[in-house]
Amino acid sequence: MDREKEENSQALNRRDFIKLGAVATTLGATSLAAAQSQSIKELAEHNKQMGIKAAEKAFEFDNTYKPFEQKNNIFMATLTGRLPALRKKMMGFHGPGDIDPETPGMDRLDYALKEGGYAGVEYMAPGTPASIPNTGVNTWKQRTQADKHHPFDYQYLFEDQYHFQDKEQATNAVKKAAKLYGADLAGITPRNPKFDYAKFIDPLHKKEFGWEEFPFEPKSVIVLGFEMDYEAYTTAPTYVSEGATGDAYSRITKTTHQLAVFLRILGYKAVASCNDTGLNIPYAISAGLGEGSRMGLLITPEFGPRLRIGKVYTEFDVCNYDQPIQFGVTDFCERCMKCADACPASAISRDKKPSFRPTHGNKNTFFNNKGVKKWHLDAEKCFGYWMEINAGCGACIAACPYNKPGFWHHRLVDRLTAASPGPLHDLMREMDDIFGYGNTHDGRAVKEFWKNKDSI
Amino acid sequence: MNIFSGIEILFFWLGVLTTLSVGVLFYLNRAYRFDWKSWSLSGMGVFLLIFCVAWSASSVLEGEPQAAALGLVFFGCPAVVFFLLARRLVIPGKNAEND
Repeated sequence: MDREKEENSQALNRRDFIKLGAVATTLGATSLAAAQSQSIKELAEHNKQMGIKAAEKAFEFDNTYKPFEQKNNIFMATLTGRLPALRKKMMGFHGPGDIDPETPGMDRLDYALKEGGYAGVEYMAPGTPASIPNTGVNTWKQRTQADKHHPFDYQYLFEDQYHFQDKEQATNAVKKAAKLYGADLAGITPRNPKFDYAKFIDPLHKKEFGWEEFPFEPKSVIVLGFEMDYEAYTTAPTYVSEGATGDAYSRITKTTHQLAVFLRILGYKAVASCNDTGLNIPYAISAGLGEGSRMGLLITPEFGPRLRIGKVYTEFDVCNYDQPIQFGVTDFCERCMKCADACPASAISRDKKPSFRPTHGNKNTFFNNKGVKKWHLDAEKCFGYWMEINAGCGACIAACPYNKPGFWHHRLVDRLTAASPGPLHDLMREMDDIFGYGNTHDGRAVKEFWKNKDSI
Repeated sequence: MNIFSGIEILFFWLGVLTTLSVGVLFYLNRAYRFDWKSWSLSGMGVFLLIFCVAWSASSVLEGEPQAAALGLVFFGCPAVVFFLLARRLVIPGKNAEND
């Protein structure tokens, strides 16, 4: 009897085993099919899987908000002499005289890496990372057939507009082209004058001008994200991490120019833009690329803050606009403070909640975009540190718990973070430290960067 | 010639490990007759063991050795504890036998 019972039990176990195998196979096959069918068309499904929901409110403005003026950003304020001490230091910035063989990451090898990174943008659109518009390939001029450079120049604005079947086809086509040309992320949002610079200056040519010089009324802004190298950013702040920054700017300039040409051949006026013409982060939030953060940078689900942003202003509007997303960044930033702790200049706010006005205590606040709820940075302190070390910093980017390589376990932790209540975020932050992520000023990281053959 | 990336090789071996672990559990069940508590503990142990291997190997691949080491501690140790508890339930100790 017992033997019979045992055999029945074993038979049941074998059946269970087969069932289990069948379920596992089905689950595996379903996951594989889902992964293979991932495309731009299925972005919504992708976002759902990433734990992203449409943001109810991406921005909170008060009634004092005014579009920001380009002359007030820290680069222009320094260049134009409104911050004389910084300007004096800036004049010696970016030169080979800053090379310091004794400091890890500041050697001639590292310096060469940085300058090589910036070579593309400085050749194609000089000054655009510092927010200077209408320069190089980011020209506002919409060349027509009459302005051909040479007989075989076909990259001019076509007179008639291409007719897409529907908005979905148009949206997919533009994003597909952007990704082919090198963008890692792409979103489309309506143009919003609140996010555009109110007026422009070009300190290199000592010019001031306004939107009346822009060649058309932009209807949409195509916002593109470009990942910066994780390994290079583990060395921040050094020339090595800045090499990754410069390389991202070079890729932005190349890709946004190519996308602008693509649009013009389809008959839509377009202007490529990097840090110029408008504010990248609100446009990127609006285009659904990510959320704002304590350090003021965009946090994306894919790369955290380790990316740079480019955009294309265009009259193309036959598209489905992307929606802002939320995946728990603001809640996490309220408790984390890791960027504020890592900031060598103490420039990042330690306030628990974001505010409409800066609270950093610096008498200069003209560089803050007031009237919108966010954590306001003391940009004078931040940029002052850049001048002190003769390099872009990026310690906040390296320290951020969202800055992780694209491995599965970080995506899992991100989803747990988004789903967990506030007090657990403290634990997440502590675990990030314990597990050894987010180190800055780490001389060993520079050696590892140059030594590591796996990433070659 | 690197046809497969490190993460692809890792997930292949995780598949092998998962299959072997499930096989071993069913083999042991034939020998020792697991009850629901033994199934739960050994199942948790297998899950944590596989998670531990996946976490630590992924951390090595991304160049974060400290995260790999801590992964062994945080996920590997509980896995061992679950296996030991399951063993105690399945194979009673000498004291239990004397009783």
